[in-house]
Amino acid sequence: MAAPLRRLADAVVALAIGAAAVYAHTLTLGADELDAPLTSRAEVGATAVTGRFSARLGKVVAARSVRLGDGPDARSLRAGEGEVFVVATVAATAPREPVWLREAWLRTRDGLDYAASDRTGVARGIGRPAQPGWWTERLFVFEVPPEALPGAELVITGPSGNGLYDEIYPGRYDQLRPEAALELTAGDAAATRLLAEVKDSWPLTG
Amino acid sequence: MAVDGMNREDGGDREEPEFDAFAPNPNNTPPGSSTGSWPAFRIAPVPAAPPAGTAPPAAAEPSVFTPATPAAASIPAGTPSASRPEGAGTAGGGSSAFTPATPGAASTPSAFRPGGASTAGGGSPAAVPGAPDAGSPVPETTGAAGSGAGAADVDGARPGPGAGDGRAGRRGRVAGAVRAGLVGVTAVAAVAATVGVQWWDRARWVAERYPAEKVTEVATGSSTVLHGVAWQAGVSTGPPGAGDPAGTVTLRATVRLTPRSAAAAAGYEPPAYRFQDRDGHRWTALQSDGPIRLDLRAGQTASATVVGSVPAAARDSAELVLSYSPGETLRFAR
Repeated sequence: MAAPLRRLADAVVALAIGAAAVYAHTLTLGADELDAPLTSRAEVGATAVTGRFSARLGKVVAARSVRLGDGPDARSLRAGEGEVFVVATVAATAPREPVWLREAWLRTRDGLDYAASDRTGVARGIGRPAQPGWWTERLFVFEVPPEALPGAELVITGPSGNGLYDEIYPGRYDQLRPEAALELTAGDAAATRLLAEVKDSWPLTG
Repeated sequence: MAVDGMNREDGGDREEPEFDAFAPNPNNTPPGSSTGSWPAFRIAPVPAAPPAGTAPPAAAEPSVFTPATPAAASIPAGTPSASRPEGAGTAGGGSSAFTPATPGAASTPSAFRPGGASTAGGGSPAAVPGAPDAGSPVPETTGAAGSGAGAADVDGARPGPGAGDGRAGRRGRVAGAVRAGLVGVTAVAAVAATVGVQWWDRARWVAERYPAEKVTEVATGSSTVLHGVAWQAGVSTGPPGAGDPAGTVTLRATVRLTPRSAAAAAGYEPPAYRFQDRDGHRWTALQSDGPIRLDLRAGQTASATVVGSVPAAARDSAELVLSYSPGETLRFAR
């Protein structure tokens, strides 16, 4: 009687192992999860270190308008109704090779992403990559409603390493991209102070 | 000896069982032995029940295979496996086909008939606790005492109550451990092979799309031909730029290129440049001036200037690297 029972137990165990193996194949990541970047976070003034670059947030200014250019060709650009410009200075460096940091978002506490404004044209410093040995500064300009600032963070994503595949499938198969999330304001009080000190005009230099 | 003699005498009175060559022979597996001996291949007939109180003759015989178990003492003499012929399931079967009439048969088997009581007296198998069914062959290995464990002792893999059973039990446990080890090793090897195949396949996929960089080093002052053009370069420190970051120096490289043929000149494309040190740090380098395709003639040397910023610490270690692809890269040693 023991032998049949043992054979039955063996069969059940084998079946369970097979079923577990089949089930394990269903444990896969979705497209969004596969494309999710690896995010490194940093508090105000701290440096976010990723595998390909490091970034830290410098001066942050809120302004109702920004001034582009110098001298007689200078022109002023006013923010939209109910919005302000947020001008953030970001310093970055890289451990081994040049990294071009072109993509940045202002991510609200609720998870909404505001892309960097394209109204200012090509911002200064955009052609200078982060390189080993020194910190490179550049400006990012966002045009957002004031209520988006409390708890917001500035998110910078490293360039894709997919090469040709980015041209075929833009934004896809872009796994494990490094991303630095820099806290924009330390808290609601800091956001309130930032908005209380909003500038009427701010020159975009540097 | 007396037992065997009695068996032969008594066996002659019984009908011979039908010979089945494939039927398991219970006599060929004496305890503690996996082979047995030829004289053991007998089917012992059922002896006549001895008078009550008669001690089985063989009980007095010393036998190295006799398990001295409590069970042996508790079973009445004459009960036992001597009734096996009926247990063989062949009605009216005899033993002549399996009983070699050799002189040695009279003496040898007793060594494999422990207890002697197995052939000492009559009795019914049903009278033995734990005895096998009458329809199944019962090995005569433990005699009367071993009737409860006789079936288990056939393959010698399960421990029995005697000394010989102990050895068989140990052997069985060792065999089980070896078998479990083999199963484990096989499982590990199968998993390793599965993962290894997938690893190899993925690595090949990646290597096709992202080939490793192959750098050709060019000695200081010498030139190397790439894409039909002879390349030579030298690096010097240039004047600082207006927007250079603090702590950096500007490197200026002068590249001399000589097309070897008209086709090479006609197919010229400016390569990508960079500065790089031996630790793997890379910095951008841009061509500030240089020839275009129409400026080049076969055999005539043209010049290009490449400029880049590096940390001051890399002023003397950064080298110019020229690249058309990961497999077509030149590094000019300093």
